[in-house]
Amino acid sequence: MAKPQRRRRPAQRIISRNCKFSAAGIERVDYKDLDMLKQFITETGKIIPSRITGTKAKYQRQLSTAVKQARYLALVPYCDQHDT
Amino acid sequence: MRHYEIVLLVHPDQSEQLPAMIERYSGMVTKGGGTVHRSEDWGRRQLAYTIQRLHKAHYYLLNIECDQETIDEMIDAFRFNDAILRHLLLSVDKAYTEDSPLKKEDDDSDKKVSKEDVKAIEEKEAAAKKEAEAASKEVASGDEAEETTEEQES
Repeated sequence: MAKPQRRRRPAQRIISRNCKFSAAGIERVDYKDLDMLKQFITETGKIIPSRITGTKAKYQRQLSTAVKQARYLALVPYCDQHDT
Repeated sequence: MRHYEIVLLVHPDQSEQLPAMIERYSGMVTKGGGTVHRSEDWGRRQLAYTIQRLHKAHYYLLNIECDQETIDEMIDAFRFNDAILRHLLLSVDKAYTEDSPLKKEDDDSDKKVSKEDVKAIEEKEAAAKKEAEAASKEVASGDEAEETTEEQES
């Protein structure tokens, strides 16, 4: 008699195992590169965790500061509920 | 001497004064023995959220090399300048002189916007003409008094 499995499989998500920054040979993640930043934030404006995007820890730290700098300059929204 | 990167958000109504402001600030830098490595105008951009109930702001990027006194003086000047909505000061490791991605992007978007604007204006004009023609036809069948009022309105 096999025990019923308690743990469910996590929901299927698009998980990338490649770090885009180390593949592109980027020295420093730039807050001015909006097309690049928008790949790493959700529709609601949150930063996507590195376990989903596969970004290396070094670049994820830089990315988080870059996104925050871009948010301060109103280049990228903080959330999707700003009163426009 | 350190390298700094500054981004300024200027009130869109005061963007005519921006060249004079930039000249004044770069004068401060050179007076203190520093240099301006990059001076870039990003133009008027849509804000991601409203700042002081504004939807647009004029962005300007400066990369400079100067000493502590000069940068303190500049930041004070930014704070007391009502035209500057926001500023971001970063210390960077070297002198950046090449164009930033935002500048290029902005040039493209400006062209697109201008084309769209032209189209919109043409459409509006055409619609206005049609309306005017329709109005004139109606007036022609009506009294002269009505015609004069129509003209005044148009």
